[in-house]
Amino acid sequence: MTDRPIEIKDLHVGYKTYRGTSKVLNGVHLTVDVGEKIGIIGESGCGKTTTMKTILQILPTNAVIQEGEVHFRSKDVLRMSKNELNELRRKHMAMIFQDPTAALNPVFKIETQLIDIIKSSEEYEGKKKEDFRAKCIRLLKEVALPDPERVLDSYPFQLSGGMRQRVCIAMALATPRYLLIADEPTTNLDVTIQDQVLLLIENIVEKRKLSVILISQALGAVKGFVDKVYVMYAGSTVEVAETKELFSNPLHPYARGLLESTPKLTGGGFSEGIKGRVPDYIDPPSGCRFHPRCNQVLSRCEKEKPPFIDIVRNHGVACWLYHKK
Amino acid sequence: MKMKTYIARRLGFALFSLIGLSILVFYLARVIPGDPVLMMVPPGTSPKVIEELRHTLGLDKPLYQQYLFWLEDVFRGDLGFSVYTQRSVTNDVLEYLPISLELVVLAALMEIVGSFLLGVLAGMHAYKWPDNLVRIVSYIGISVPAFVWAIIFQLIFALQLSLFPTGGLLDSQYMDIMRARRVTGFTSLDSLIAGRFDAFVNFVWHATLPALALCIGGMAQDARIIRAGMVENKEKEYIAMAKSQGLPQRLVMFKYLLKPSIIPAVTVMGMDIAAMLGNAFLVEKVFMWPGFSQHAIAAMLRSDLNTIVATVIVIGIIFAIVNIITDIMVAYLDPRIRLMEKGE
Amino acid sequence: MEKIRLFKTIKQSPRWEYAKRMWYKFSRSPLSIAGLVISATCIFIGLFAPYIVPYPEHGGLFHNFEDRFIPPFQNSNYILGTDYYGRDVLTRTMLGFQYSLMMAVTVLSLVVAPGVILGLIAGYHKGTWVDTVIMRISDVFIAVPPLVLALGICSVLEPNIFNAMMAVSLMWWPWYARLTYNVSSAIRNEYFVQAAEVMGASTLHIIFKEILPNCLGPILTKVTLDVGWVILIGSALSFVGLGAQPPTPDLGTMVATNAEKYMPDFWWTSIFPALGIVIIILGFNLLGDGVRDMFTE
Repeated sequence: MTDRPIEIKDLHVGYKTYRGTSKVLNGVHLTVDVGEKIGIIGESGCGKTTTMKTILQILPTNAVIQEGEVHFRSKDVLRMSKNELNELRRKHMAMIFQDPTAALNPVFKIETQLIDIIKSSEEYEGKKKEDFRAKCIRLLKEVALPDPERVLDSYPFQLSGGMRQRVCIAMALATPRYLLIADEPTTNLDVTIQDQVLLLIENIVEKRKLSVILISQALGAVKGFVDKVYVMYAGSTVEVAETKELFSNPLHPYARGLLESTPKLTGGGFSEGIKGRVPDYIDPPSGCRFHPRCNQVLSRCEKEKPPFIDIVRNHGVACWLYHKK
Repeated sequence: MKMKTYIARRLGFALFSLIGLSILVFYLARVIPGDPVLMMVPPGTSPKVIEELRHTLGLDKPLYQQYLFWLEDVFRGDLGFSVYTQRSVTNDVLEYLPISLELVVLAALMEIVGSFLLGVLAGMHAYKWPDNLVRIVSYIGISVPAFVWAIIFQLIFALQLSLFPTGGLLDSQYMDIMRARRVTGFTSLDSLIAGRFDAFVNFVWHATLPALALCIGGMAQDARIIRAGMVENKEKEYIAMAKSQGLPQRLVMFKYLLKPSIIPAVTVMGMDIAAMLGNAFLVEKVFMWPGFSQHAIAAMLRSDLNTIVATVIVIGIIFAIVNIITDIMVAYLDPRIRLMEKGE
Repeated sequence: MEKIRLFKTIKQSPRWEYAKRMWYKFSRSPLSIAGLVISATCIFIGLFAPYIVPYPEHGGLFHNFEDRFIPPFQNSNYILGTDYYGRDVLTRTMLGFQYSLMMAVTVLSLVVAPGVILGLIAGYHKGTWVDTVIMRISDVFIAVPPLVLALGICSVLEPNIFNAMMAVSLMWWPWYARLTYNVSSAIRNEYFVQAAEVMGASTLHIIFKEILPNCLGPILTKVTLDVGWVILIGSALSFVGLGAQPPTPDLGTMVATNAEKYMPDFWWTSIFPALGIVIIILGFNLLGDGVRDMFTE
């Protein structure tokens, strides 16, 4: 019995398509401890969002969870009843989506959407409409939105991208929850606003002492913020380590390539990058899914999937290179 | 505030279309059939008499002037003289139009309720048996024309099973009562005003089959659109977001999913209801419904030009009103249309 | 060198590959296949009706009062029964397919090209007076339900099948103009169109080579669906007596004249031609949905 908000073991999730089942998640491991800040990095399309949606059980209808376990405080999320699930979503976790434009309902005012969240989470009998509105304004102020009154009376399409994402953050904060899932919260925003929004999230996480899972392509942002970094490739966790350790001593060839491919502002020109692209999930490569792109490929990589093991304390990797015979 | 501009724009378009339509039908009715004066007089009339008649009727003037005179008359409420009924077309319209309209309104109500229920049922249970059932019903509903439904309903429910009357507006004993108590021309309203609830029930009993035949095609189509909208929007990120917030399932389904899903259906519903005005021509014939369409067809078969022109214009006006109501409904439901300047 | 080879491999998978993909998407739904079979059968009957019907002479003014009003499924000579004049209902229904399809083909071949071209021009000039003029004029023709205007036009002309086709054509083109306008005005601002413009391509090139190919999907879908709707309007005109006149074996005329006089005792004289209309509309509706699937996603 632990208080661990999240423990994912060997999760496999696929999507049914007309061409066949697309096997997106292929062995994801992830643990989040109380108060811990986790970062997940990896190319787009490697299953980060799918993993997060599995935790909250908000996968698209064509998704199939093939195997694996997702535990919330030692309880299997995948076997929860509807009521338990709703309680989990209402009281314990909140998610910030990648694209705030798609995440807000286009035909309702911000006020309506925000108040519904507040109402569903607390006792509101005896409370008046003004009380809710006052709470909404407090929330919008907390996410540093200017002119909250006007924002409340707006529809999503009347706001800018940055404002929309702040509204989404306010929604995630509308009720006290302690795990925040931020799924590339800045990818769809203008470069100038990205830092502001990220800083806002950092501040709120510090202030409210939240656990957080931050998914991001911006390695710099991850590096400065989280305690532990997971590297994902093609639906599998390939490496995990504490932030400093991972950035200074990446083990998995993919992690190395990923870190090297980030252009550095300090000069040095463009790096090589990693050859090829994320594989087709309907007919993925056998064995280690990275082997067709790997520059240190061994003969067994093609045949067997490497298990995920701790090489040294708190530094795990899934790669045959580090497997002692 | 912008809603007003939006409605004003729509009204402007509608007015423009109606004027265009009036020019079109005026031209068709005055030019294509041949010389209107020659059609009025018995054969062998002397040319002099013809010329005089032409002059008194203003038919020797250029066509555009004739049109303007005619338009002036229309604005004064004078739609001309009917060769068929031997009285003013305006009188005919006032007598017969309400009877058609109340049938269409009943059908429209049935269509809205029916398509909504079927569509939501199918959308909630997508790819399961209620969905498949609704899909089959929809395909049949769309493929069978209104007048075929009318014939089939009449054959089965009226002629074979005798559950409903084969046609007409009211039973004859009510017919006489209502003729004496005519206030609005709408049988349903008049019967209620007169306090004759039995007559009202009799009216509904007569109207059920024709209304059903009128609405069933549109109902099937709209149910499918609502269903498609719900299935599509279910996968949208904002539904995932609403779910992730732990909102109750009922709220997610009937508020956050339903509202965006019905918007496209409302537009089509408006078009379908407007199209009923056309289908009424066929269904009224089958059920001998003594409405405007029945009357108009009789006039058309007798080449009663003034009534033909009036029919097209009157239906055009009602059509425009239905379309504007639809546009307002859509704008009310969808803030993106209401608040964005672009319009079209 | 490498680039050239890459180019060639793309070129090697030509239209055949494209057709295979299209067929795959179309055939995913069994309903589309059903639609294809039904509408192909309808077309076959329409084309060869005079040669395959049991009694070709029953199409016109024929009478054989000895055999009149034979109920369906009782006499192997007249499977669907006979009408008042002793004419075979099956023969007349099959001949009716011929008239219905002729109507659809005539109307659509008259309206599609002008409608699409006007829509393309208006879409290309979106926001200018050209757009306004074309689209407002097309609005006039859709200011009343299609059937009402067609009825009005038919009634001032001589009621016959030719005039019915002309009337339907006159009010049908705006739907193509509107559809093409909506698609083309959206495509008009896409980068590939702008790129062609920057490169100095002529207006004609842009309209027909850049914009038109991208409108073909919705247009083709609409054409397929419209076969059913045109036949519906045509039969509706005949139904009220303003289209084809008896003794022409037109489906709408048969439904109307027989329903009026011989219901309910001789229901088959009216119901089977009505079923004929239903089958054609159903077939082309299903086919149209399949065509839509082909072009989506």
